[in-house]
Amino acid sequence: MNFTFAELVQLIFSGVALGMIYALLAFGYNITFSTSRTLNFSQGDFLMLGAFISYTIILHITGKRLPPSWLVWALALVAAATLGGLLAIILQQVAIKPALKTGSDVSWILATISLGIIAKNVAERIWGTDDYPVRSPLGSDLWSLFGGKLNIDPRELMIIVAAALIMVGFEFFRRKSLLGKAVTAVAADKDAAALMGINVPVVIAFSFIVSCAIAAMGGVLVGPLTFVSASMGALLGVKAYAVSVIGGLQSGLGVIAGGLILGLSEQLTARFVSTGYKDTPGFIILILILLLKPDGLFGKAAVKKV
Amino acid sequence: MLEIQNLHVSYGLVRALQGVSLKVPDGKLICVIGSNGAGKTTLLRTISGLLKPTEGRITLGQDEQLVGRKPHLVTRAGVAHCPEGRRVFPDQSVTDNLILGAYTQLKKIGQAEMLKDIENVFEIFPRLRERREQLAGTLSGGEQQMLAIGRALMSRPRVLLLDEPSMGLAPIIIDEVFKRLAELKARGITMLLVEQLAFRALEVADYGYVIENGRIEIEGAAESLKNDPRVKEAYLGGG
Amino acid sequence: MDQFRRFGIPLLVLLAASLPLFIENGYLMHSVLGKVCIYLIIVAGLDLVVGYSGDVSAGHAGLFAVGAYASAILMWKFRTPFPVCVLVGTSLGALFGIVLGVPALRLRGPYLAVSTIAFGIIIQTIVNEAVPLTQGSSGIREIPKLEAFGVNLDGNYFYWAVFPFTVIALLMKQGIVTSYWGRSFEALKENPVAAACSGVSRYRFKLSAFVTSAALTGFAGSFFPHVDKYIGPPTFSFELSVSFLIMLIFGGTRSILGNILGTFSIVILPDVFNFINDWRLAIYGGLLLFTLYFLPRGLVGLLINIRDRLFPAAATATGPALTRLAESGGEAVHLRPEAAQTKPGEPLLELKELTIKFGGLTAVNKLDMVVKRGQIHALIGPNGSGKSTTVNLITGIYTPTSGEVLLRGRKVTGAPDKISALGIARTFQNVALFGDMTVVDNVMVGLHHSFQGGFLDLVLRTPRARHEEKSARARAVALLDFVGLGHLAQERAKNLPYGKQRLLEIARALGSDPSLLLLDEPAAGLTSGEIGDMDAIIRKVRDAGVTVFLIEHHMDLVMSISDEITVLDFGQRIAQGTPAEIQANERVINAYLGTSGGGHHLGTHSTH
Repeated sequence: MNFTFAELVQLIFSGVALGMIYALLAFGYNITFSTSRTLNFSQGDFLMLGAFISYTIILHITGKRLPPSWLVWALALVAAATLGGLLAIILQQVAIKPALKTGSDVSWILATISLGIIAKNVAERIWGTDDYPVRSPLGSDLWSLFGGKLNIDPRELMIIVAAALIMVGFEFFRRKSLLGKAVTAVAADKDAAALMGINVPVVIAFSFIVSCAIAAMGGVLVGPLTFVSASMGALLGVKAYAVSVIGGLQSGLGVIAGGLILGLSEQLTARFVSTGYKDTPGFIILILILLLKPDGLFGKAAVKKV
Repeated sequence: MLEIQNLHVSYGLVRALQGVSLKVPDGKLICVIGSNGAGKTTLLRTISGLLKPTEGRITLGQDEQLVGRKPHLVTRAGVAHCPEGRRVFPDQSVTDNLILGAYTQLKKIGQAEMLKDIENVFEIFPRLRERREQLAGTLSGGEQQMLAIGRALMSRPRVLLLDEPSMGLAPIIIDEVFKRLAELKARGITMLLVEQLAFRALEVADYGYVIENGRIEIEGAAESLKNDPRVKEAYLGGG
Repeated sequence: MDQFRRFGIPLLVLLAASLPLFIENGYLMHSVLGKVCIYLIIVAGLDLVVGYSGDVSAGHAGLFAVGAYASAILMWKFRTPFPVCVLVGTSLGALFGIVLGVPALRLRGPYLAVSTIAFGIIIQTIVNEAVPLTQGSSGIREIPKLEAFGVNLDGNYFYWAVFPFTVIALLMKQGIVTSYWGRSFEALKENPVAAACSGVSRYRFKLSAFVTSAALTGFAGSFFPHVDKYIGPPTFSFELSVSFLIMLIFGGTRSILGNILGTFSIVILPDVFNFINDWRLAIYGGLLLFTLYFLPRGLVGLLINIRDRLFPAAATATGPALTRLAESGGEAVHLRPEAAQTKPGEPLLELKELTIKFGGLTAVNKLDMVVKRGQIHALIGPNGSGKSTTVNLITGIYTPTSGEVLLRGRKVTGAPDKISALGIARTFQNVALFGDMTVVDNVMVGLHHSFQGGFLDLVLRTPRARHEEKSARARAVALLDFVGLGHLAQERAKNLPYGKQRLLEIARALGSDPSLLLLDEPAAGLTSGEIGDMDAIIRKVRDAGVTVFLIEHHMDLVMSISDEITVLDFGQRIAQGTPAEIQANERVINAYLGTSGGGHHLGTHSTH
């Protein structure tokens, strides 16, 4: 087995890129879980819809042969985020709001799952069941560094940079803006937040809009690297649970560390065990974290046991 | 002026308030005293819209009806509620807590005015200025109470509702809290104080109501209630 | 109704069993009805988790795959006899149930849903990848013939191989849910804290429900290779897990009839409407949403509504349980506190320097206290002084930061259900009953510790299980008579007037034969007449030999009833004594009414 330093760097780089996608989805879980103790079990399908929107826009404006310009790409990103946000309103009204009234976990979990399979079916009817390639504005040729000793994939670089910007950007918004502070306040104490004059249901709806918009943007980022297909969301969404739990369901940026841990362990598994088993570490880590450190590596001890 | 007429509230099968009426005139400090479980907290939670009454009217000013409004709209109308147990936002800084207090005002008055309001709060509670960057959850109980009151003031309320500001505090801290309440009264702030510590409350109040089992049993000027033997009986039983 | 139960149901079962004699359609018999029978076992098991225990598993397709592949591989590669395959499939199902349930069910939150979804998807991936074992995406076609006693059970007769087991699984489920297990599931779903304080271990019962369900799913899976004599990875998708949930919810949870209707409708749906295939998932999703919001009790709920509208008499008719119940009542109750080791007046409960801190706040501060056996001991103090926190410390809901609780000189530690078993029972400040359960079932949850019967006892309905159930019911009715609620035994708890709910809580607490009963504001919200009743019941409990520890704000009640009173203020004991001493104590008056400038009292010690 021939394993060079350059290969190691590339492997880490790919792992980080993968991890950032998981982290992006997990970040969305954590935002809504903190405000409403619920999360969207169809987050992966929102990512898939975002990916398809970008695919369609880029196909229609730029065509198949050329990479899209940054302008077109940005348009696709905004369109995906908008669609994600709009669908989040439906999700919140249909699946979350009624369930929060009854206080039963069963109904919101099942309702968000239902919406996910409906979304998947609709996507299959619109775009079919094939895999589609999407081009990245950075193209797909590897960038050679150090005179060809090190090759990195620009699409991976873009994922890392964009995902980090989105997450850090939202954290900045949450800490500095009035609405962001209101989100944190609602997460901490709904009654007290209402007494400040904060419209709590609107803030919860807002947290879903942000969460789903982020997932849809994740689809735009990951599309060029994988392929776009109606079934692309399921596995990503599931792995993001693991990442979310590693970071702690309410920990904010803990998901980045969680994403990196999972992304890297998957790359290592693929390299040293078998590519076929690269999806298994997520599940194993999930079970181990729940068993050993249920509040997550970075969460506060908030998980109730009684 | 806040006026409550014939307020009835039930939680499921418990009738927590059974026809409570009271008035809070502008610039006055009115207290409602009574033992635990008498319905004091229920009264304030109903005024601020966290609970729905089965019957009764809550009027602010001339004719603004508060019954049926959602809590954030009651706050917007000018009723600030400093809740039982303080309920500061523990993971946010003292300053952030105060900014959240100004949530309904910030658009109206702008950043500069709000910063002035924060300065005002710091003037009343100098300890908060020292700790302005500290997370609210790390403050002591007394400091959290000051923060909760300051946060409520940030909405520039027409009426300030205070739910048991003495709760869980050591007597020496309670002294300080009540001193601040007296100062607020001197500044002309209209307050409805709900308190278990009857004599403390009557010390600062203009007028008091004694609530027992969801009904107002006694009312009168603070001075006269202080000497009323029925007040002590309401707490520790007859004999 | 009784007639139908006794004769109608066995007749229907016989009729269903004889179907292969009339129908000569292989596809219908094995691919439709055979599948219905297999799925029905899974759905019945899933009902234990979702319907009774209130958790969601969206990974049952994974457990199903484990059973199916284990059985197929053993038959194909090792020529293992089918019964052994079934045994292995079932055990593997249970094993993975433990792997998933142990971490997720200790926690509150959507963790079971999260880990089961992940499990289902991972299993499908592994099945695809482990080619040497599973033949990957091409699947396993080498399924041998199924025979029993020389009779070929393939094709048309496969139905006979699985039908008896479906009936057994449904009977088993019914046995479980009508026993103390079923009551424990429901109690935990309705109010986990109250259930724990009645001695029900949340973790143990949620795990039991899930592992039972997982084992049933593995069991059902081991039959599955014979349906089409082929298994391949696409079958075991996330969508199949969701389909199981739809069968359950659409038919109606917590009902055998619902399980049957739901499974049958969803299995035949694609056959009846084959034009829907393109929109199958969307229709499933829509159906599930529709059911959640418009048919919360599923098809069965709909049928019940229709029946009640057509035959209003049937709706109001009293069930057979009521008449049977009346016979068992009437015996005089003796409370049986097993605290005979201590004599009256000796210390029963001792708190030693008990302290708990929440963040920076010390809610209870070095509290020392002794409750003597046979007394009514009240704990009073202003709002926020730490009284309820003290009760929560004694009953294990909170763990003290330092200090200890002793009962008869022995240290009290552990989870609430363990502490309940030591003989400490409690009621709650805000009534915490199991509202949807009947009054008598509420008390039977309180009698939890009197049940020793294991899983097999319940499933087989052994004499031991029947005897336990019967004597517990008699005891529950006797306890209800003790507090004056015997005539309301069959009402739903949530329909009782408030004052009676308070009494029911006491009856439930007495179910565990406590030596110490903690009453957290039993008179809160009561009218003055009801307070009189409460006063009488508390004395009656004390006279029966149970020590009472009382938190209360109605001072007239406290002063008239208590042998001894302890007063708390900001987490510390400020006084202890008889009612007369307490009423005259300056410090107590101060703490309650507050005199200005009271700061100089800080730091003085107990007046006792």
